[in-house]
Amino acid sequence: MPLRFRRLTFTYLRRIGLAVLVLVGLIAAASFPPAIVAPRAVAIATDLARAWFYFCSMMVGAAPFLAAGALAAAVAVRMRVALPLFAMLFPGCDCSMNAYAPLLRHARPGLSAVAIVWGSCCNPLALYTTAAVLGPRMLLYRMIAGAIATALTAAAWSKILAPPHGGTCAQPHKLSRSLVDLAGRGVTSFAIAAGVSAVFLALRSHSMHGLGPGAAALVGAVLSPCSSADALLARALFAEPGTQLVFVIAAQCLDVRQLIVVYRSFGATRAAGACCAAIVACCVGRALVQR
Amino acid sequence: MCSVEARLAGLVGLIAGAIGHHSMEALVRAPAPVMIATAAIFAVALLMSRERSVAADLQVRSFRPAVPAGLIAGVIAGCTLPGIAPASWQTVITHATLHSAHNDLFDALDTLDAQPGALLGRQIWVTGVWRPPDRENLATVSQRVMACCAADAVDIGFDVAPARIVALPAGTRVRVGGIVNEMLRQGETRYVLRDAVVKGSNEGSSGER
Repeated sequence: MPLRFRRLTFTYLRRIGLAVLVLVGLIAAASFPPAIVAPRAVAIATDLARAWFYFCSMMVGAAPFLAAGALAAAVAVRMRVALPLFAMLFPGCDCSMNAYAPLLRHARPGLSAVAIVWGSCCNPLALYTTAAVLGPRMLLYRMIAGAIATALTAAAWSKILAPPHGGTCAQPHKLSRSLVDLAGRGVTSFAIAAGVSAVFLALRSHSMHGLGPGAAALVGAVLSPCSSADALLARALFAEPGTQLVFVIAAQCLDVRQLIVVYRSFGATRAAGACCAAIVACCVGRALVQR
Repeated sequence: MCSVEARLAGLVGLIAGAIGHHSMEALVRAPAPVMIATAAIFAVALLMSRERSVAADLQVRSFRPAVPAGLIAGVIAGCTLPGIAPASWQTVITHATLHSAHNDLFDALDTLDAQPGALLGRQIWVTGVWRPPDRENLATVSQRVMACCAADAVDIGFDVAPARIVALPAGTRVRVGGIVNEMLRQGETRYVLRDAVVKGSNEGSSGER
């Protein structure tokens, strides 16, 4: 049977609405002549182009890690290897967590928290970069703060009931099918976070040198750099070691990307738990550095 | 919203477009072969994952055209990217950040961080990329350090106060010689090369007038 579509009728109300819209457009055009709009339009276009460039650079930069994460997760499921342990040791970068997360929700809550938080904050590449750029003392503080965030998140998740969710690719699919599913879901999570970061980067106009730890945490959370890049950015942007540590921890545990991944895979309550744990870890980490 | 296949196809297209448009070097640190291999893995997975069960096939039949559409959209997006990275989103950092890289510029900054007295007031020569002054900032000579992608790239170098007006365009590779000074700006200590001589390193010309 052919489907019948209702056609929109052009009622009087709609005609009035259209007339009002045209009138508003004419008033706006009269109020903002091209001489005023053009320079602003150029500035806005420049900012948009920069935001687009940063967005694409983040997407392309994350692609190898997404592929590696999705491939590793798909292989781990097929070989029935302990996935949380695999995720902790073989993420390569926290970008890989976008691919791991959908599978980790089938593990025990505490274990999945350990895998996600420790794998993002203290994966081998992140620890190596921190030691090289910020030194062994900051490496130790990063590990302590990461351990605090991990333990608190695991404790919180163990108490919080898992949200109901639809079917995922935990069933043993073909390897290629699992890879496409995991990487495709990861692309979505990553794209949202990359969009937020790109807009922030394009619109930011002031130096960050004098920022305090609270503002540094906010910058880290919005910017959400890779775990291989956060140490370099912390050293470049902030002079004080305590602020550097807060930035690094917030960039991995409190960041938009991590919270979106947790929210999409584990629900809002667990994302809030991870957020609180990260804030405590930032505070304790800073207190330790300044001791 | 589009399917996971279409999103992945879009990413493959973006990588292909960026490689075809010679933008990859400006976008990411990873070498081109790694990016090609990544796109190839995704492409092979997309092709091989097409064989599905009848039920699943019926479910996704309506999404089939989305995969080539995603690929084409990605390629077009990749072709819009510039071949040269725009200026970094932050001002040039005039402090050492990497201990692993060694060249005249990074070595000078390392020395200044460790023993400022060893170089302050002395003339040094450094190599880097030229950026002319603007309303808020002095001219700079810097080198870009990229950890992963352009979003986390940092320009590291010196502020430059040239002895004469320099007419070189932004992005020119230069060799700058000047006396090292420090100045305080917005609570930050920055290192400046004063009375600097700027030479375009390609043609050996000074670009000064």
